[in-house]
Amino acid sequence: MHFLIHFINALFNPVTYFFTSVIGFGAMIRYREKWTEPPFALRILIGVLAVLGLSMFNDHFREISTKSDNVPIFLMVFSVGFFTWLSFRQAVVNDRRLSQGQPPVEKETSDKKVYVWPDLVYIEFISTIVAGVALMVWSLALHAPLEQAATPAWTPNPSKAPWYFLGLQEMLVYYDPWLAGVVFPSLIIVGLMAIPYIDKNPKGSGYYTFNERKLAIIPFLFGFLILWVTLIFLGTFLRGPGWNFFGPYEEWDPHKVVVLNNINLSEYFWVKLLGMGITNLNPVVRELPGFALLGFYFIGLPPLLTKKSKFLMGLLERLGVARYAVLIFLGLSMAALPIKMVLRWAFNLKYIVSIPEVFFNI
Amino acid sequence: MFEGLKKKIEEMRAHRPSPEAVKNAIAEGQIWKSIFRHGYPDTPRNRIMAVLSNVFLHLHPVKARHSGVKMSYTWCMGGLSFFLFLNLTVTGVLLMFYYRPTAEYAYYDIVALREAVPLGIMRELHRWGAHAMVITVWLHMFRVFMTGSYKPPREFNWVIGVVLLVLTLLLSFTGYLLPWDQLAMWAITVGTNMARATPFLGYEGPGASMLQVGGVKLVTGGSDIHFALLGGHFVSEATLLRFYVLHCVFIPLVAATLMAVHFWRVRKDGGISGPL
Amino acid sequence: MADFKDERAYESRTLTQWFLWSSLALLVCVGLMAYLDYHREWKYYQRRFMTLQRIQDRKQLSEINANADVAQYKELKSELREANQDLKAHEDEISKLQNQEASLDAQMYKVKNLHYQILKAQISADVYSYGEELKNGKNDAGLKKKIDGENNEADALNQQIFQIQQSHDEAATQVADITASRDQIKAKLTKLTADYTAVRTKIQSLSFNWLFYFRNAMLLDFMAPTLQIQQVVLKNLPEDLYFAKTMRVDRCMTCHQAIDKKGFEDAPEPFRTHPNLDLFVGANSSHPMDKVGCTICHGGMGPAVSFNGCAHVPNDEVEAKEWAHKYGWTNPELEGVQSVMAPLKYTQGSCLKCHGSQEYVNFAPQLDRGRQLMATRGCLGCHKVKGLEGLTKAGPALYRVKGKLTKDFVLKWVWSPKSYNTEARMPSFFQQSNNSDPDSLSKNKAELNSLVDYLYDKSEDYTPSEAAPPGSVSAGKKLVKEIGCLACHGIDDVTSHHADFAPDLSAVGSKLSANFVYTWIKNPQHFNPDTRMPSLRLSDKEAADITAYLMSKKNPDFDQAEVPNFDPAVRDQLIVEYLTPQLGVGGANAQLTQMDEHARQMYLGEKTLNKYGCFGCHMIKGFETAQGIGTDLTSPPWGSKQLGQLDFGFTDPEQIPHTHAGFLAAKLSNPRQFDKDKVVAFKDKLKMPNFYLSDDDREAIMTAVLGLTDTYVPDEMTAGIHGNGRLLEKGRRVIADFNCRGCHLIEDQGGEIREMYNKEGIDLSLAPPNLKHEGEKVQVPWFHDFLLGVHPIRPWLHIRMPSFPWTDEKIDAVITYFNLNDDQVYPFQKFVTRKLTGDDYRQAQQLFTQLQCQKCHVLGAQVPKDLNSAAPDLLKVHERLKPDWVVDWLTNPAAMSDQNTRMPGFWPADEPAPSKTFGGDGEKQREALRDYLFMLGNGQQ
Repeated sequence: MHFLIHFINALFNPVTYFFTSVIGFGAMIRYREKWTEPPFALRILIGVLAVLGLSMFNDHFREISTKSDNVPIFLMVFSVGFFTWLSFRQAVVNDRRLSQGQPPVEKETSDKKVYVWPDLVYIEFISTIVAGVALMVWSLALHAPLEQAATPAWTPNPSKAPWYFLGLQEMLVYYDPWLAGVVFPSLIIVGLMAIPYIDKNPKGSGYYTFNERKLAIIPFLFGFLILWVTLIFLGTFLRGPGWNFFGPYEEWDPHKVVVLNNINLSEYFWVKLLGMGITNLNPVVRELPGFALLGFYFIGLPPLLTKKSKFLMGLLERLGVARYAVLIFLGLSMAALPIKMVLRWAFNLKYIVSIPEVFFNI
Repeated sequence: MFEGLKKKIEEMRAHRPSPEAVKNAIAEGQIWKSIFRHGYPDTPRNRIMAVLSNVFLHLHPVKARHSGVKMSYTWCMGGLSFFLFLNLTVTGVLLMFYYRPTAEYAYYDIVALREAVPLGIMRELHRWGAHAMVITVWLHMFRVFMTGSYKPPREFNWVIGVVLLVLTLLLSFTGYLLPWDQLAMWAITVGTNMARATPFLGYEGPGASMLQVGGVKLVTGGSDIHFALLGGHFVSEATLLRFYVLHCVFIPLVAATLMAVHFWRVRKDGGISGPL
Repeated sequence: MADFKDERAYESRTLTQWFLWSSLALLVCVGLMAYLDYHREWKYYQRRFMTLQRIQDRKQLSEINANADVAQYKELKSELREANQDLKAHEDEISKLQNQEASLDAQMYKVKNLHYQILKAQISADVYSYGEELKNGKNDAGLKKKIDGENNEADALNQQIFQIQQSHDEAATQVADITASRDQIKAKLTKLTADYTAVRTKIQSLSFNWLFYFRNAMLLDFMAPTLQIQQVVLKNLPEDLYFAKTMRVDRCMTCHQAIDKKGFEDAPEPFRTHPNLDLFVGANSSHPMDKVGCTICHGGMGPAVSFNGCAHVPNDEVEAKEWAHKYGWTNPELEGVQSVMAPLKYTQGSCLKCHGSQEYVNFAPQLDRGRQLMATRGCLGCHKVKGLEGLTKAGPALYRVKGKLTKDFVLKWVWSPKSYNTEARMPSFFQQSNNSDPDSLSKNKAELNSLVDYLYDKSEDYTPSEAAPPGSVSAGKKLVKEIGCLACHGIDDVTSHHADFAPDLSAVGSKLSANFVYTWIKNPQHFNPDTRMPSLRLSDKEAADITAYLMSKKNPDFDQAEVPNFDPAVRDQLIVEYLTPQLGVGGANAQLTQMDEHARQMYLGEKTLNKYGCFGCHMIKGFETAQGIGTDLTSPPWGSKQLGQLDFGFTDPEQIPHTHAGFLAAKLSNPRQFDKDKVVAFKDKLKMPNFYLSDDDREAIMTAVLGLTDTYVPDEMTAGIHGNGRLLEKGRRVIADFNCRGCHLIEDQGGEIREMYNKEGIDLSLAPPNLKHEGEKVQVPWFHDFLLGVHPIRPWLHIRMPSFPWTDEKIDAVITYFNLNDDQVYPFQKFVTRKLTGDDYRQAQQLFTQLQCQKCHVLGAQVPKDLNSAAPDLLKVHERLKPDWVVDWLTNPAAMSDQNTRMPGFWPADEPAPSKTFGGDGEKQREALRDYLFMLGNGQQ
């Protein structure tokens, strides 16, 4: 048993965690036909519950997961999982019908009209009662957390933001606060708001489908499921004191020592590549390689890609230059987080551009 | 000597009115009719009138698409979020009876709620309700996205939805500080430290040093957005009061009005979306 | 229901079923919520306490019945029956009178309430309006006449009322006369059964009748519940929440119902009475519950009313398991709760919150012992503790160690002090759990040798001034036991009492040379001018005998023990390790080659001295004011440190619970165990030495350290800083520094040597006196001269008052302390005695001879025959004792000295004076005797 725990703990690290979640996401999309079948989905659920039940025997895991403020995260993970299945299930059914030329299921039901009283009002009333009961049971079962009185004289280790911001706090590992705390969250909000204005695809309005709205669903789900939900799970259960990464069954030891020294791109370029001293360089000159890379990424890459791929060219026509540019910019900035993660893991890259004098680090 | 009285009772019992008559007597009575402008909604006309003549029910159309009513389509997430919002408002007001947002009393008022105050469980209902609302709001966005219900003519309603999402997160964030224990204070400290790094407006943000007039830096530790948010250099009593007012008055009002707009737009943009 | 063919999204049967089950669930939840909210833990305890009280009261009731004299009760009962009987005869008369009374009442009511009062109101209204008119200059005659008329009418009515009242009283007295005898018996009867009925009604109020259930029923218990939360609000002990201070609210008495009620001493917890109520919690104790509350001493979450919510902490693991089983207790400290209760056995530590600036807190012996140990064992040498700074260092000075000890002895001694003497107080730095591996051992030996060489190099030369003549061991043994050495020193020959204030003498023969001992015990200052070792004014013969005896106390195993020598290569390696940080490896080796053997020893010696901080306990040239190397225990206060700040290393939480008490117990039993499994360089190993403390000593020190908390106590609640507080503390500091309490009882504490007297059955009046009223008793000039130059008052005592090397400043502090402690008014020096003349003088003289004072007391040259029962010289009374004290002493010597004096009481309270002089007036006799003694002393015949 001891060996197994060590093996699992060793298995878990940011790299494996992120890649398995991305691969899982890919598989979810590719094999959506298969896994949305109720029996298969049920098997997945039972598998997950079994693993969870077993790991409850581990003292550390039980201590962390039964903390009353961590229970909502389980609730979120299971509800997001269930509703992803439900939406994919109906999308798959509709896709099958659409491929056979039939209208989606919703078509038939939406033609029929029903009186709001009693139907809608009655189910609303029932769901209110059920939700009320669930909330009361939850409140009766779990005390709200209350630790010692607030004092700035002692910083608890780890200090975590409320659970719904843990995705952002995880981003802080790879980006400076001004990016991870201000710019990216604003881009997320603006990006979300811009979806209806960018997605010109007339099809798929008012019914579950996947095939007809691939280009809209995949980026959204990648952003929501991977970059938000799984990172929240990681931030809650796998990040311990000193924001070090801990395996699910690993004791949170505040004295854990981990090698964290990373190197800037400018140091790679000037010192490693050209063997020159870096301290005497003017900051802007020093960061030229970084600016060049960013410039290429945001300005150089899009036209190159659009010329090469037919699909993007088609998209450009459909959306028009303005929408296309906004879409590409948002897409690239969303991809920036996974890219930076990979660069960090692969090359210990700290900053692409680093001018600490004015707090400007990317 | 009570013969007279007994005789009268006998008479009354003799021709006791049938339930039907009683019902009609009440239903036709002036009081009843002044309240309910229509009969019991078991006929189409009354069902329509029931919805139309009720300020709460007329949130819904008189008849709705069958698909709009199916749980597997709407997941009832919007409704649940609204229910949780109402629950939070009610339990929140009850908590305000006992909670005083000053550094001196905040913590021990929460201890009192937990230990001695009757129905102190309101605090649990409020806190778990808040976490549940954050989840239902996300799932509502998820459902609206997966059914493509943001497509014209409902684009702007989606935008309002996103704003409401952000407001929900802010409501939960400001409420997180109020118990004033270590968990609360340091979670908010971590959360608000981001503001220090806002470009130009935060004193540790890029570009802040450029905002100078005559060599005098305008954006400093005491005059940036972080300071404005906290009412101080670090989370202190001023922050507690500021967050309390935001949490109890400002954000709920803004959210409520936007919800009204949101409900209105749902109706105006054609009710629950369905295939064209 | 009109069932037209409308399409329904859901078929109403399922909806209704859903509705049914969900609303049932809702009902259950709401019911459960209300019930759980009503069903509170403390209500259960209050109910149990009610039953407990009822049992207690019933026992009290049966006691009353047992010793009530039943006969008298029966007799009174029968008398009452008879009285009622003959009252019957007067039955009709009484009822007639009573009717008369009733009618008179009715008449009174009519006249007074209906007529008289209305009339009075009318009069005052008219008078007012009349005055109003006058103001406006109009004199309304008509109104005036009306008022006069009304007044007359009022007087008539008044007269009538008076008459009615009179006849009413007459009738009432007549009735009373008739029933007088019966009422009397009834009053006697009720008086007899008064306390019986009182307890009876109390039991009634505590029974679970319908009224109780109604008042405390769910949802109804907001009106007038009997089960209520009780609390104490402590305005003058606010709690410091960093940002603001909030009123401290303690609700412990909600469950601990009998905490301030006598009679529940052995009730089951939580209903036990608080120990010594006259000191704590009692209404008129010095720590009343409504002013001090509970959490200031016991810690814990005051406003909480659940067992776990209050953060109870058990004394030990056994109690922890029991609580976990009984209350579902979980350790609050592990869940980050800060205001945790102190385990009951360490509660005395909380006294430091208010009594922190006091030298000792008499009602907290364990804390005093802990604080004393921290001074004498040398904790304060390394760890700074506020309130205990500037004390004399725990160990002997090493300025002239060369003249006292041989190098081999010091090497063996420091390497393993316990091998020399198991009672040795010197802590062990070496051969510990983290430096017993071969590599560490060799390095430690190198360090030790260089350290000793360094000390010997810096030490001044010293040769004892006198050679020790031969002496008898047996005489020396008897002397050491009797003259008072054992008040500070322990020795294995005497088991009845073991002092540990000064070094243990059980193996001093293996340590010192005879000449050194001889010179030292005759004149300690010769070797070390600053030593606290006093001189007992030994004659040469006595000194020789004691030296012979002490030299006979050897430790053969230790003498043959092997001297820990060192490998120069290892020493050089250590030196290189020290030099590398500044010079790099190459530079260090180069530097090493330039250093000769002596320079290497000196270099490593000084480094080792700084590493282990020997100057914390020993005065060493050049390091007198060096800072202790240990962590500061008061800023931040150790007791309030966060758990995260305590490095438990890789120790197993099962063995060492991760709490403050757990860490401290482990640290004091074996400080080095926190290095277990840690890969750490030699220079970074934990250095705290092992004191091998006994369990009690460890618990005492833990109490003192756990008491250091950051709890805020305002100045007006802090003890020892108001009025004469600081002066008293200065005196107490000297008394503690010189271990006066080793012999004397001061403020009823100490007098440790008396343990030997008790165990060996020696008469306590021969033991060092209890200095309880020393301030009242002794005159200041005499006290000063006595302390400066001690001379025996009762030379026949075996034990001697030592001559301490006190400075004037210390003596003044002590004298001020004794006088202020007995509320003497500064300048402590004001007394006048009468000069007896003629007849008074003659009678005083006659009294003096009548009482045969000289049978025991010395009078200048005249010495009583039986020296063993002798008493102090009366010629010294006039300069030594204060006049008022002498009179009090003569009145009742036994009381003044707590029963251990042999002075008889000549004037017992309830008997006539022993002599006829002064007309047999005891008071006058005593004063005259006192004045006579003073005249004798002053030589005025």
